Amino acid sequence: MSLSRREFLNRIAASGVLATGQLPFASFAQAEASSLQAAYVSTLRKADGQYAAAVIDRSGNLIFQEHLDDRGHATAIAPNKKFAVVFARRPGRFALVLDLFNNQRHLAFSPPLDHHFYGHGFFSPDGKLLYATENDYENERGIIGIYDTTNSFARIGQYESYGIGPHEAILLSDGITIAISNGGIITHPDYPRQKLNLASMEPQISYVDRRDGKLIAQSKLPYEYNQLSLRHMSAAKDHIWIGGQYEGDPSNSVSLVATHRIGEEIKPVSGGQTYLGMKQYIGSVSVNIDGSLVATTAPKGNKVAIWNSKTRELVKTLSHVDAGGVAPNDRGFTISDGQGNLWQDNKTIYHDPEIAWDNHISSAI
Amino acid sequence: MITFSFKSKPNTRRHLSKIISPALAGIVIVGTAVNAWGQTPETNFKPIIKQTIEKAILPGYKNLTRAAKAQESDLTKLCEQPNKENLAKAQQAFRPLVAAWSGVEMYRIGPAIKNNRQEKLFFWPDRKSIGLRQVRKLIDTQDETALATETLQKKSVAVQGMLALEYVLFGKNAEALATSKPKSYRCDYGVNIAKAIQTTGQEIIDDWASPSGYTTMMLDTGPSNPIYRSDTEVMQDLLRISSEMIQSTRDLKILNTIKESPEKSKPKRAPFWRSNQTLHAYQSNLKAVETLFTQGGLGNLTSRHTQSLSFELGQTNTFLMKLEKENIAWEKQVKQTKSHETLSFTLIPLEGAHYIVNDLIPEKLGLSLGFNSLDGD
Repeated sequence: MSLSRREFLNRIAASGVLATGQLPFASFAQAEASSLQAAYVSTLRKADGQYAAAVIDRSGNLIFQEHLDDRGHATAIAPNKKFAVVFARRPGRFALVLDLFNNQRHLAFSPPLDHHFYGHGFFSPDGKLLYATENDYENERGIIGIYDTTNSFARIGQYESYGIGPHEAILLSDGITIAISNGGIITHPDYPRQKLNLASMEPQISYVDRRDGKLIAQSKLPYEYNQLSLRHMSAAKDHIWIGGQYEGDPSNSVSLVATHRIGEEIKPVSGGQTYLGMKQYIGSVSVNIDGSLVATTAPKGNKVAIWNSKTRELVKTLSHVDAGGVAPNDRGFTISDGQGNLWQDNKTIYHDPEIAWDNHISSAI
Repeated sequence: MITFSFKSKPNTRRHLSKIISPALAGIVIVGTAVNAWGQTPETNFKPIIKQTIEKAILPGYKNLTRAAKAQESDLTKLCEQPNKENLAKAQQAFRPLVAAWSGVEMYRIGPAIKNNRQEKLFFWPDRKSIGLRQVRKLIDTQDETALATETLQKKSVAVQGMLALEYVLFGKNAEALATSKPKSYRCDYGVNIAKAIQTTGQEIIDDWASPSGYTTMMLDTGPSNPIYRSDTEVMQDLLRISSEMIQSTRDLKILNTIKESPEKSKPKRAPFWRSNQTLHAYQSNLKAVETLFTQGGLGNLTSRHTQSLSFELGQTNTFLMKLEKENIAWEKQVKQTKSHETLSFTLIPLEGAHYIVNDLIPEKLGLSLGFNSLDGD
């Protein structure tokens, strides 16, 4: 069996071979390993119109990329960082598993017939299970599909999302509670990307017990916000942060970001005027490593907002054209855009004008 | 067997690229030789935007309210004097109404989005026949609240628009409208739907035309504008709705209906099959796109591409017109091999038309949308 550089170094480290006297070598080896180590995964479109998933290291070097049959969306990273699962953009039906230790494609799988992926998922804390947001479209029912990562990602079950259009689902820090943003919009592959119930949508957040799929709590938006489709989420300390897309009158002044905690109402973050120019659409939500800051992208408005997670105040707004993806790094956030850039601290760490980074970037740091 | 996919056809696109502009082949990346908002500094889009609103959008909605008024008038006569002749007249009045609606269907922006007006006018697609069930229930229960415009407008979006009216005029037992007693519920409900269409259409016109309305929003762009920060963004919206109308006609209305073969086709997925106005509606949809470019003035900026667009849309409408002249019920026509083949031929020029509007013209004018600025996820 061949070992990846990372596995090799891990085993060396675990064996205790690297004694103090060998530190210079160890430092050098770690630095080199670091440069080859997956730090970010994102999907992209290439100049020839083809789609791919790409794995990038901390410095912005492309480690490898893998062809996708169609447009991808978001990526779930395993807790031990061995696997990354790239999901198809809705109404796609593929999930591609990348092996980040060996830098190669591992396998691909699909949801059951009459289901499609929404494009997001997450792993259980032990990495043995993968959960994916899905649409049981004939029954217009949101589903969390469950896949066994130890058995070639075979599907072993499913839970209700307790709503329509579960776009993103995340696991809260207790390892038990799944928070699901049910966007409320009915779609069907017969009418690709057509929104079928804009006049009657009911977005809400559901909390589901990972152990048995039972509903723990649910919170709906007030009626006047029923066309704010709740879609992307990230957990910051004791609240989840949610980004939405507003389907109502575009001139309405609507708060596009909200926070929630079980037992409370969904609270809008800042007044509607703050979102002027964001074109009624938040593309991604991400919390930084220590949970103190939250970033929300507005790719249609070419803006990225950084929020204080405790005070809920806007810290700053960055201008990045077509920036959809955001993920935490050691110092803050890495931002990806549709012009082929990866940004850190307002500097590009990667630029390829021949590609367009897709809506999300995931951190494997 | 010919098979069609929902995806674009690279070969068709490559072919078109060579014909239309060899230099423009390849994908569009924002910012190529344009500023951060995608606008070439010397382009002044404002006169085009103004002309588009004045010559294409507003006349389209005025035409809708006029046609709905005529429909109301013919229906009122039918309600007062139910007979075959008056029923035929009321049914005939539906045809120009379908054309008028299909001429504005593409303007799914601003005033049409507000208060779900687009859905109120046209609840489609209705995959689970929700509208049908709700309309039948109203007729069965003779719900009086559907007989006043104000209360009807507060009901489900599915019972107050074009397809609800179509069911009243052409649905099951519609022939009884000619033999029922004067002022029958079904007939009065039809009159009231025609009134509701006028009201909703007028609300849209008012929201376009009011001093602080959408026209002002489109013309007075800038950082404090809640929707449009630049004229470029307005132009992008106009191109987006044009592109969506072509794509919707191709993928949702034709391809999704005819499927791979006559046997697999699902003609009742199409709008206006009950009144057999499907082909008429599609032609009007596509003419509306052309009108936006020709009457609206967008075509002056890109005359060569607009000529190509007119050619592709004209080709499509030639096929559709030929089929319409056969005067066969839509659900039977789609099942016929020859007609199915003709319908499948429309997919090719529509693909070309979509490519011109979605890729070539935006690139030519520096108006390309960003990859992540497309339909949100």
